[in-house]
Amino acid sequence: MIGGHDISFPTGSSPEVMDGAIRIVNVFWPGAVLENAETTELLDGGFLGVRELPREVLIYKNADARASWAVNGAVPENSNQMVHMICGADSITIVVDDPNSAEMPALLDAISGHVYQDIFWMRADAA
Amino acid sequence: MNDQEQQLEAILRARGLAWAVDMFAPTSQAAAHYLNSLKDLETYVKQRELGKTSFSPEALEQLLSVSPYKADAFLQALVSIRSTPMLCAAWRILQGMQIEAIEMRYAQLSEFTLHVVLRSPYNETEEYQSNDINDAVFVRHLGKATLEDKPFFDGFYALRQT
Repeated sequence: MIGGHDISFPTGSSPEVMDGAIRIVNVFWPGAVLENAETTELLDGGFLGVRELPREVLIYKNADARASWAVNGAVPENSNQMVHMICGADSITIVVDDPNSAEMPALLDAISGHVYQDIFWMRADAA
Repeated sequence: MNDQEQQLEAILRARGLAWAVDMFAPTSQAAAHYLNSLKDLETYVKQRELGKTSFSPEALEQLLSVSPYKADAFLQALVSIRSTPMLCAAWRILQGMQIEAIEMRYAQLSEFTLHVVLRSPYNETEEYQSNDINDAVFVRHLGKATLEDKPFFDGFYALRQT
């Protein structure tokens, strides 16, 4: 990241939350490209399927952004063109360059609403 | 009970769904009932050309090992959703389909309709409909968010067991 900011959301449902957060990023960035941060393997971000998700995912705004990151690295032009998502045991962390610019405030707000929604606390026997 | 029925009952009990077994009398009928639902789903998926998916107890064990939270959501759907199309809709969301539109209509002692439209990342749509009011449970499992003040159903989730 260029000067990454870590935004951590505590949750007891981190894999589910990460799955939903990826769906949200895909809506903000319809051409998003997903990459396993540990292996650089590309993932089908639009259709995650029912496999195990990697612990860390890089989500590029589009294929051009991924190519630019690969060639130029953390240059100012690449700022906020990629989101780094980390699934912890009891949290999910989103790393962005600048949480206050471009679409990041709206994106982080949507993810925050997703993380703290009632479905992750709703008891089956009370529903 | 045969081996598959025993395996499915063990899965349901292990995942906090013992109630869904014990509600049957005798309880040995439960697994056979749910196995039938899974076979119906397998046939339905095949007929609609949505891929070749096995919903055998072995396949569910495999799903549990790689994605337990999605397996739990599917198992909860299996024991509560009544119609095959709506169970299929739940499965397709778990696979990655986006929830494009939902319409639920109800009139006391007259009408219940749940209509779900899903969209794939490749812009293909699938429609599912049920007139069984028990399928209203489908909506309980939907996660939600707002994207710039616009509504967004973000997935199909398991309810908590504890």
